[in-house]
Amino acid sequence: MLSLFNVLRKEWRDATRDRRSIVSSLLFAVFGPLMIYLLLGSIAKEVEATDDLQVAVVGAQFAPTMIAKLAEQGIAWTQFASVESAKNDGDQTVLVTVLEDFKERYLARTPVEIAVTADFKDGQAESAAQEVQALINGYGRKVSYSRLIAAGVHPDSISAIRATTYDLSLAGSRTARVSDSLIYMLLIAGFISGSLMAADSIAGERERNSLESLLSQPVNPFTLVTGKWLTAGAISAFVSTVTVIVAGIMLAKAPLEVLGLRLFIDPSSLFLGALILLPLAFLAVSIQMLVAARARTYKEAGTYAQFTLFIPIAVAGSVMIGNVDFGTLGQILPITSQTMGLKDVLLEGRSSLISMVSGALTTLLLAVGFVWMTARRLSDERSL
Amino acid sequence: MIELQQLHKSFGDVKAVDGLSLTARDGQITTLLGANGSGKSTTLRMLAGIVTPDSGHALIDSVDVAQEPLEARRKLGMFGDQFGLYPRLTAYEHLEYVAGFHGYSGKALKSAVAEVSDLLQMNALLDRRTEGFSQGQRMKVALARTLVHHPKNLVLDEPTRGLDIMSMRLLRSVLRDLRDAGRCVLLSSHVMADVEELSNQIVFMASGQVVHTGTADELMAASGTTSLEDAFISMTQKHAA
Repeated sequence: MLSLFNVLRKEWRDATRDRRSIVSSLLFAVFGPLMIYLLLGSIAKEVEATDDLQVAVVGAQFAPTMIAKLAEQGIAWTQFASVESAKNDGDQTVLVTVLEDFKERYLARTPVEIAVTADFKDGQAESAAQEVQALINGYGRKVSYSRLIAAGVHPDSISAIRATTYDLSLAGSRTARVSDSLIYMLLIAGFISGSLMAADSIAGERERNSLESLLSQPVNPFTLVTGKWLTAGAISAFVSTVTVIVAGIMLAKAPLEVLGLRLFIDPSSLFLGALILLPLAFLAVSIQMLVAARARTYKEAGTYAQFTLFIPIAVAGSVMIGNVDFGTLGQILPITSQTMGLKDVLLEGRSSLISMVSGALTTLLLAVGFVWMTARRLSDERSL
Repeated sequence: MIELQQLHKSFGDVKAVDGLSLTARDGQITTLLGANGSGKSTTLRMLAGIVTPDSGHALIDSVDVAQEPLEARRKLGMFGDQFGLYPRLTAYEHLEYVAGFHGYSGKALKSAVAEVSDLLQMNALLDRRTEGFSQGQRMKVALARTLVHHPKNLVLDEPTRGLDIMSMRLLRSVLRDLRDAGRCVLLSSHVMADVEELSNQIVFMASGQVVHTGTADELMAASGTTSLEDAFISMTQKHAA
C-alpha cells in the first residue's frame, strides 16, 4: 500500500508538471464542445434562412385567396407572367404554378393540381419545396373540411387515423446527427485526454531509460502500473468532467429552440453525465497503457494510444447509428452502457441508477484486467 | 555478498551468459571486465531480477533473486548503464521515490537523503528539477538514488562512462569509501585505469563465461604480461582459441 502511495505521489507530480499533455487535453475539453456549438449555430442559420424563402408564383391571379394564405404563413412570393421568366430569375428557390382552370375546377369540386417545382439537387430547395407543398395541402384540407361541414359531415369522420409529423425540415436530420456527435464527443473525451499520459507511462520510461532502474526496485509491477493507471485515469476523468461542464455552458447558449432540439443540460443532468463518464476515463487509460506498453518510443506509443479512439466511436456508433440491439447486456457492457446512459440523461432526461452502477462496475473490472495484462507485460524481460 | 552459480542465459540462438559462476565478497570491489557483448550487462540484470536466468542461481546475501525478487532487491542498490532520470522531478524527489520503495518516510527519509547528499556533495542540486543537468550532476543523482537506502550490496554497470574527470574522481572516492565500510561492490567497466585502481578482484569475461579471476597482479603474473590490458587480451584470446 505504501508502495502504491509512493508511485501515485511521483506520478501525480510528474503528470501535473507535464504542461504540454495537460494543455492539449484541456484544449479538447474546450474545442470539442465549441465545435458542437458552432455546428448548431450554423444549422440554425440555415433554418432561419429557409424562413426567408423566395417563392415565384405563376398564375397567382387565378387563386388569390390561396396565395394570400401562403403569404400569411410567412412565404414571400413574387408574381411572374410565365414559367420561363420565373426560371430566368435566379433569386427564386421554388416555383408555384397555378393553372388558369383553377377557379373552374374549384367550383366544380374536382381536384385542382398545383405544381411546386424546385431543383432537388439543392437540399435547401428540396426542403423549401416540401414546406410550400405542405402549406398548400394544408390549405386544401381546410377547404375540404369546410365543404364536409357544409354537407353535414364531421371532418373527423373521414380521418380515422391521423399521423402527425414534426418537420424540422432541413435541420431535422442534421440536428439529430449533432446531438449524436455530442454523445461521441463526450465518450472520446477520456480517450483523448488520457492518450499522452498513457503513452508516457511505460514507453516514456523506456525512452528516458528509467524503466530498468524502476524495475530493479523492490516493487511489484502491478503496483507500478496501478499507480500510473490511477493517476492518468484521474486526470482523464477530470478532463472528461470539464468537457461535460463546458459542453453544458456552451449548449445553454446554443439556439436549440430554433432547431426544435431538446437537450437536458441542467446541472443535475450534467452531473449524472460526468458521473457516467468517470469509469470510462479509467477504462480508456487502461486500454491505452496496454497498447502503448508495446511501443519502444513515446511517439510510437502516442500513435498506438490514439488508435484506441476508434473503440468508443465504433461501439457507440453500433448503438446510435447501427441500432445494434444489445438488449439488457447493453446496459451492463462497457462503452455501450455509457452510450445508452448519456443518451438517456442528456437527450431523454431520464436515468437508471442500476444501469449506471452495473455499467460502471463492468467497465472498471475490465480496466483492472487491462492493468493486470500491462503489469504482466512489464514483468516480461522483453519489455526492457 | 553476491554469488552467481552456473548462470545460463540465451536470447534466441545467442548465448549471452554461459555457465557463469563467481562470488563478490563484502568489503571488496569486484569488477567484471569484458568486451562488448561478453555478457556483463546481462549478468548484472539477472542480479537485479529484471532478466530471468535460463538456469543457475543469483544470490544476494543468500537470497535467491529468482525465488524472492523483491526481498533480493531490498538488499541491492542498482546503478544502471543509463542514468534514467525524470526531467520534471527534482533531485530530492528522485531520492524520495526510491527510498519510498524501501520503506523510508518522514524523518528517516530526510535523514537518509541528507546523508547521501552530503556524501556526494549535491546539496545545491536537491531542489532543482533534473532537466538540463550536466552528465556529472545526473551521475550524482543516479548514484544517490542507488545509495539512499543503505544497500549492503551495490551493482554498477559501467558507472564511469561519459563522466568528466571531477565526476570520475568523486565516484572512485565514493566506491572506495563504500568498500571500506564493508559493502559488497560489483561493477562492470571498460576503463582499465578504473579497474586496476579500484578492484580487489577482477573477473575477465568472454562469450558469457568467466575466463580468469584474480587481483591485477595475479592476472598479470598468470598471463606473463606487465599490464592489465595485455593480460586481458592475452587471456581472452586464448579462451576464444
